[in-house]
Amino acid sequence: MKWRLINNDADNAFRNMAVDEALLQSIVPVLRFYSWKPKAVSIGYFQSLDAEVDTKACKARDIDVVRRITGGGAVFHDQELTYSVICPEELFSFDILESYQQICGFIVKGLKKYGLDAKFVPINDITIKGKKISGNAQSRKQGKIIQHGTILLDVDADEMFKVLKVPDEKMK
Amino acid sequence: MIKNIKERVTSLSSFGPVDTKKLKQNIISAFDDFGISFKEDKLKIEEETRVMVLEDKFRSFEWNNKR
Repeated sequence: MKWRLINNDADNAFRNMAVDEALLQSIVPVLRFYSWKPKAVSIGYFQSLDAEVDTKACKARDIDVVRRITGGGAVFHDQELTYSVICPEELFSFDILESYQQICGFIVKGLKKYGLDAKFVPINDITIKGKKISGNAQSRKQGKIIQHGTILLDVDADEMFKVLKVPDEKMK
Repeated sequence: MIKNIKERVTSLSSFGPVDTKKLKQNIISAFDDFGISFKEDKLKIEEETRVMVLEDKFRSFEWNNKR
């Protein structure tokens, strides 16, 4: 069976998350590419908005804020390629760590073909020369896996720190 | 802290001009290497209808502030 390839343009955070959740109904597995306009912050399903995000700073900068259906941490979405993989659970390992490795494996290989020495780093990161270039988050619903991942195209660390509340211990 | 994140995070632009189209093609090709091929597609009408409902959920205060 051929998978569906959905190649979306940039859209707002709310539609981006809505499209991914709607695609959980797809019988055919999906690979979706998209980006974010305006810039956005997403928080993981289990996170506290107040603890993770400076919502006033986001509002002042017209940055969308949205809760994902996947777990993981807060992410500032600016210059990046985002992908989602949505497929029946049985296509990959039922072990979450193994399934991260399997799905991230496609991205690692894609980055290698692009000419970069990418590596999967458990639990759910991809690095190049020891630095993180991609973070991933997963959820399982209705017998499906949904994995969100980002590939950083460029980083504005200054703006990131203005909108995310990053605890000191995370930076150690 | 900003210096710290710059030491721990990298991006495609650090390795030359960014070619997003090529990156996508290479990822698709990587799936193909594992026997997964694709048909380019758009959302179906019923999916677009569901997106409209879900978009309201993702915009809502209740969803975003529930924890």
